[in-house]
Amino acid sequence: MASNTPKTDDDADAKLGSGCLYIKVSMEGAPYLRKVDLKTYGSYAELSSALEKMFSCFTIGNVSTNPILNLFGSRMIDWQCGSNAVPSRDGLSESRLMDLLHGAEYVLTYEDKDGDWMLVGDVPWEMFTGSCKRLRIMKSSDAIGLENSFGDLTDKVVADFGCGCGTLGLAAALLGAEHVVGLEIDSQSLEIASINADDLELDADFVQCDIMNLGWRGPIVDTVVMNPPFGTRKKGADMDFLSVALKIASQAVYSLHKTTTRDHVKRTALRDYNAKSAELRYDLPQLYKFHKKKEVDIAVDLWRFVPRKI
Amino acid sequence: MRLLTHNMLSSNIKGVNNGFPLLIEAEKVVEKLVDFNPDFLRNIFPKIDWKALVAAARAVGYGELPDAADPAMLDSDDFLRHLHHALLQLHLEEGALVCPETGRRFPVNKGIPNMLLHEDEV
Repeated sequence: MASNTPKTDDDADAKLGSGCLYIKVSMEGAPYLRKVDLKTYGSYAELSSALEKMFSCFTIGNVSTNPILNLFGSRMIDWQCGSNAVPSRDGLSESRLMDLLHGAEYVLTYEDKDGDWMLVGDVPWEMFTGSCKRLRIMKSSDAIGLENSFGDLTDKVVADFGCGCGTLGLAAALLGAEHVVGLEIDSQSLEIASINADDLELDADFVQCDIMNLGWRGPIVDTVVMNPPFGTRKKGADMDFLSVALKIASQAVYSLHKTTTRDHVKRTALRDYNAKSAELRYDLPQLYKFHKKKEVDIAVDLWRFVPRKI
Repeated sequence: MRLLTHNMLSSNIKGVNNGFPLLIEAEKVVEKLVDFNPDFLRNIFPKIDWKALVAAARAVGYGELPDAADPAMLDSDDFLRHLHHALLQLHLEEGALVCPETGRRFPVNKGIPNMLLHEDEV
């Protein structure tokens, strides 16, 4: 992290050896692409305002209340203060997703050298320009991965298992869930979750409990959303959560699991947990990579499971 | 905590056969207004344990729900409004949920019930 000078050899082809770095920019809902030269901008803020002008004609109606792209403006400020988002527990960085919820209608994502779609703003500007292959402006709700959810959320009762600061459950509430219950063992996380709900002016209930030992009555919960602990302390805790979720939900379970356990997750859900189907949701950028240590990202999958009605 | 959440929680203490419904000790109840959504109410109605909801509503000081309810009542706007208020707008802010079999109290602070079990209860 100390040196941000782009490596000359590795990136030579991307840069074409010239002083320009033209990349494509696409935006959901816009009929054509644009190109920008990253070299003409010196910071995220400059890029942000340039894109804002470039695409402002497609955001009429949103601009007044939610200035486009103000979101990663705010994340960038976080970055400059040196207060890198600290991952909560061993799950994803909740604060990043909270930013998404608090933020504008659109977020800026980019494809990096490895072909992964990432949220703009996590790395120093020079590092970003060194690895950015193209840009995409996408809807925040799509970025969270819960949009287009087959009616699993609107007017539904949703439980967020291991809700941490409440991110996924509150996202569900924003997307139209009628009743959201966040379940979490840690009281401090729950306090923050309550504050987040108040900030967003959302009604959500929170219950302090151990998912593995909570008593339930009746088939009230339609959909479970969860970013379960992957188990640095207890291996396979995410699968324990999934087992309970598939018993409690009557309609669907959205759950994040490590990509390295993909086969195991699918097999176990279908064979042992009575799931009727298990499908991967590919259509989201890598917002859910979580940082185990600095520099080490772990890829995760977002799954949608359908429980078998008994 | 809404009474809808109360309607889906039960005491899971080791040895308890029927931990539902949890009794409510209400010290503070707050009202938070939310949009009236009749479709949601019609949908959730068959999943509700009615007796438990009526008892819970009375425990937090709301007596507008009838002792028994049947789906025909869902045509009444009055009934739906009362159901809406009881399920979604009344919040137990401070107090406790009490296991009906053992009397064990699960405290509710700032609207959050603590359902964590002690080691010897698991």
